[in-house]
Amino acid sequence: MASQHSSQGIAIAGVAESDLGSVPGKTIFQLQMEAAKAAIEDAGLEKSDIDGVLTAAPFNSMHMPSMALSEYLGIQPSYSDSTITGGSSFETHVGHAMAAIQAGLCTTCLITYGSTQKSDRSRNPQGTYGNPEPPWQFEAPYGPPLPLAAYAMAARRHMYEFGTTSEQLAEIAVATRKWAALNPKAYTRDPLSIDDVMNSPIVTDPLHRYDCCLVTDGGGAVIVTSLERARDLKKRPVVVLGFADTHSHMGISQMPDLVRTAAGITGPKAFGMAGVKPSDIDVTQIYDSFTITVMLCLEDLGFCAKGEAGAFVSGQRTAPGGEFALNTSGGGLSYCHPGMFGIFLIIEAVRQLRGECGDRQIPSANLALAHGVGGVLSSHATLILGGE
Amino acid sequence: MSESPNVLPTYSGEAEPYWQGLREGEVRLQYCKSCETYQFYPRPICAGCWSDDIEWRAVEASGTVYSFSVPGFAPHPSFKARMPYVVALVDLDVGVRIMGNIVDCDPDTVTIGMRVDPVISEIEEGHSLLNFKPQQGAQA
Repeated sequence: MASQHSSQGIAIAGVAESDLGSVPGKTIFQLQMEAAKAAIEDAGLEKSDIDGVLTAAPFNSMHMPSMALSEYLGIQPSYSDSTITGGSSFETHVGHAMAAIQAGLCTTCLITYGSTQKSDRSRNPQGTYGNPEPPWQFEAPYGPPLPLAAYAMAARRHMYEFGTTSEQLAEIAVATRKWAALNPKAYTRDPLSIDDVMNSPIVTDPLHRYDCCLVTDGGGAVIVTSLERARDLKKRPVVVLGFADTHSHMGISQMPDLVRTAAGITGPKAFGMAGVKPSDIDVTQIYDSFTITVMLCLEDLGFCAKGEAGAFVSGQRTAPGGEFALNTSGGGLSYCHPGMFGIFLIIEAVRQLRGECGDRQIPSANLALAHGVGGVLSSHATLILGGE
Repeated sequence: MSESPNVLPTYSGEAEPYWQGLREGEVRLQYCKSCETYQFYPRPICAGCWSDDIEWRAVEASGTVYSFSVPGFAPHPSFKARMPYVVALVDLDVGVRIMGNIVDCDPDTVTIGMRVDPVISEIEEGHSLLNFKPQQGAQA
């Protein structure tokens, strides 16, 4: 039976966001129910079709996320998954949904996320100062604002080893803002220049304010089912062609090499599974918690050589009309970033492959990559998605 | 301890010899005799080879700055008065990487690759941390 299942194609059949941006007065459950209902409708399914529930909760907000959420949604699943690896959780959930469906544990999975981080003002770094887990207990007494300081140290090391500049990091923030200007749902759409980024306050040296993602509210949902079933549903199926995930460390002091991430493992594995190569990808979504995150992953996923991401993104090559379509939603830098952004990478990749992106649509996009990053460059999960 | 205005280490059993060493003015790390490497942070066995043939050794704790950042805001009120301060990852010569503050210098003079020596700083009575300062001539 296993071999029969393992060849079964898997597809994403529905995607949706909840309200995004600043959504005072709503709970994380409410946002996830909104997104779940919209994603199920997007797929042309009913709630009763869902027999797998996968979710990851924002920090300290839910103790047993998939159980709490399933109760709230009124679903009793036959597959339940609360895997939390930070921002990459949702790419990992797609991989787990694929495995569960192929193993016959369930048929149709709902993946959700929601956060009221902006309204709660819960992004308080002091919150982590009580965490007794190693390696944090050996970092907290030194006062690193995390995750910022971790990414800042990676950026400085990249500058040291490869001559990368703050202006090159700013290229990413500026190009991403141009994409956001084409997305009516994006939270920040005002024009942004390299000078604006360079003149913005240093948040944690060497990162400027505009090198850092937004803090917003919001939720999202994704429906995963068999390709066979997806073909009978409302929207054109988006096929899961490749997947890989891993994590190399928890705390930044335990990361083996700050400029060589585990995307160097997940990228080649996911490309190998899909039987494609980086130059085949039409549209790329890389978790942009910080501009340096994007640079590191562009290199480690194989879109350019190690150390060359600065040159790769220069001259607005990743902006609308540029040679490399990157973070076309406006990303975590300008579209939304409710604590964890991974689910929104998938939502945008699916919409691009369906041709639903209006002014920001990449013409005849047929292959997409979504790469999630969690923790402090800790977890990495790569999805390769294709139109049918 | 909850009354302290400072961020104190979270003490746990397996790491006590490390903290006790600092209180006594010495940097002590775990050494695995099976794979012949030091490890940090402390664990009951070697995280590399899972051997339990490990021992505590006093080390010199000099090293090289691997990377660093100067926070633009204090993540906890106790750090406000210390700004600007340097958070660094230091590669010790004995082969482990460890976080510390680079003290006794102008933060603007810190560079990646700078040689540093250990400084044991008492944050308050009974609570000491391993920090680092530039070696003589390292700023030249």
